[in-house]
Amino acid sequence: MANASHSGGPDPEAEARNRSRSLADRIAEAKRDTLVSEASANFRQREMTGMGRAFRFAAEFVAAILVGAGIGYGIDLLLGTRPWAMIVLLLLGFAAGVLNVMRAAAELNADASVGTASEGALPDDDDD
Amino acid sequence: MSEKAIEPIHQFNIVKYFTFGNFGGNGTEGSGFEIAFTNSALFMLLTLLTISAFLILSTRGRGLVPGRMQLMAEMVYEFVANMVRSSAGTEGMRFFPFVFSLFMFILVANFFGMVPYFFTVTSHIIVTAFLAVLVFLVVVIYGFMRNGLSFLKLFVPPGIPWFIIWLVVPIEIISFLSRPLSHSLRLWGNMLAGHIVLKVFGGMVVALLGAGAWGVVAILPFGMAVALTGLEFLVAALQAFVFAVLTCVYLNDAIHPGH
Amino acid sequence: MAGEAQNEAVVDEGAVTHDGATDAHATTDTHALTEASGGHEVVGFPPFDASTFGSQLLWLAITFGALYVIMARVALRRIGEILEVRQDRIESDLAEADRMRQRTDQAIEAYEKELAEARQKAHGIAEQTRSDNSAAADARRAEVEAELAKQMGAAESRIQATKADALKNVDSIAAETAAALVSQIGGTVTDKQAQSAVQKVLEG
Repeated sequence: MANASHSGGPDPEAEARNRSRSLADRIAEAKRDTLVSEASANFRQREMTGMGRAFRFAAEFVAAILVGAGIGYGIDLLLGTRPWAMIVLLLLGFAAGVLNVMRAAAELNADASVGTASEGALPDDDDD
Repeated sequence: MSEKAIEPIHQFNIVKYFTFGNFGGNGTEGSGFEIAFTNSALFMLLTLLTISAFLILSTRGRGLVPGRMQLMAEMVYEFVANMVRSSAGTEGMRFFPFVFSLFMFILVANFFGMVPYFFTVTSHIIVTAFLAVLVFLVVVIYGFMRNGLSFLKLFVPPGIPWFIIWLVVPIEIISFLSRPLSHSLRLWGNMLAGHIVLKVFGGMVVALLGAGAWGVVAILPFGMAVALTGLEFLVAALQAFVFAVLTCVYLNDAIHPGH
Repeated sequence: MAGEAQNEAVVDEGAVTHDGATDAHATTDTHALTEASGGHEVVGFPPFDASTFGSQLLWLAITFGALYVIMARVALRRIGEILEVRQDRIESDLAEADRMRQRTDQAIEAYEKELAEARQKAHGIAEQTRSDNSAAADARRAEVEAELAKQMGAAESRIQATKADALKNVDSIAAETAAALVSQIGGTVTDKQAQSAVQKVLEG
């Protein structure tokens, strides 16, 4: 009689416990899953191609020079100081353009390091 | 014929369908603004209708378990929401509808431009400039509304000695003012350049095919055109994304001007 | 690809006829523009044609404004609600599942404890029963043995009595037989003499 309970007993018991454990695992996994979508944003940095960067830098640089020149032109028109304000502001615009490019580069690098932090920065460095 | 085929600028022509009349100006030719319904306006309307129809129809069922279309709408929503949250913080989420509208408008307009014979709204600088200036104004107005005059701290980076400040501040101001320009130039330049290059290769294919025995060589520019089309789709999506991300970055300046 | 140039020409003509119907000025304008862009690119570069800016800005303002309103008021709000409802539902479902799982674990534990207890009890009962049984058996065996011993004693004494009785009978029979023999032979013997003679033989 004791023998019978031994051969029949542990099977359903162990099965029930296994099922419960796998259920616990699955619940934990499902809870984690909702966080995974947050990581989807990371794919963006990887898509920054070399050409896109080049275009961005060029636009930042040219825009600053154009704005500097435009402001200088306006001041010259208002004050009749042609061409001095334009020259000064063109130089300032050049400086602003360099600043813009530096900031853009820092931003892109920061983005890239965030995006590839788990894999190291190497693959992204090859990109440029 | 080849002169016409390799004409890459033609695709950007504005075609008037009907005119409402002239406003402003002094009545002479070319003065004031002529308000007309053009191909540009048509594709703006198409963009608006496509986005609205897609988002509204796909979510009509409000399914707890999303269908394919609803899933796409939800993914775009979450994508942009994550972008705004990570670039501009939780407070930036009040601009989520704005950024989302910008992203979707540019994205769909760019993709419409990829269809042969369709007009690319974003290939006109006035359009991208309007959007960039809109972002700029939102940043400036919200920046002053939220921070008052301390928004001007944006132009005074911390830790700069007093004797260079007078040089740094104008540079910072020019840099700030150059934002709408670079913002619009990049989008416009990308779309324009991409379409011109595509058209040039397409035109070469046509010209070579028309040249009889040289038709075999047409395979080269055709292959280029195919490859570039793939690249252009990527650029179309990427530029919409970059425009939205930069909008978030600029908005972040309005929310946290102290850097 | 081959049809592209042709198609553009068709579009152009269409534009011209449309314009002709509405505005004569525009017709010549567009025509001049088209020719200019065909000849020299820089002059007729359409994105820099300021005469189109007004309508483009107007339509862009209208369409983008409408898009913003639709997104903010309808579409995004709806998607946000859907996502929120789903998130709540998922969270509550997961919490419920976890709660059920814990209850299952508790049930399994309780069951196991009870099982162990029951086993313990069964073991005790078996032990008890076994010891009870052996005591009762011992008692009964002792009883039976005692009974048997008593019966054996009784039987022995009865045998003893019977034997003695039988022996006594044998004496008297022998005396009688001796007396009968003597009388046969011709002598006379009294019973007393016969008996003592038998006694003598028996003892002798």
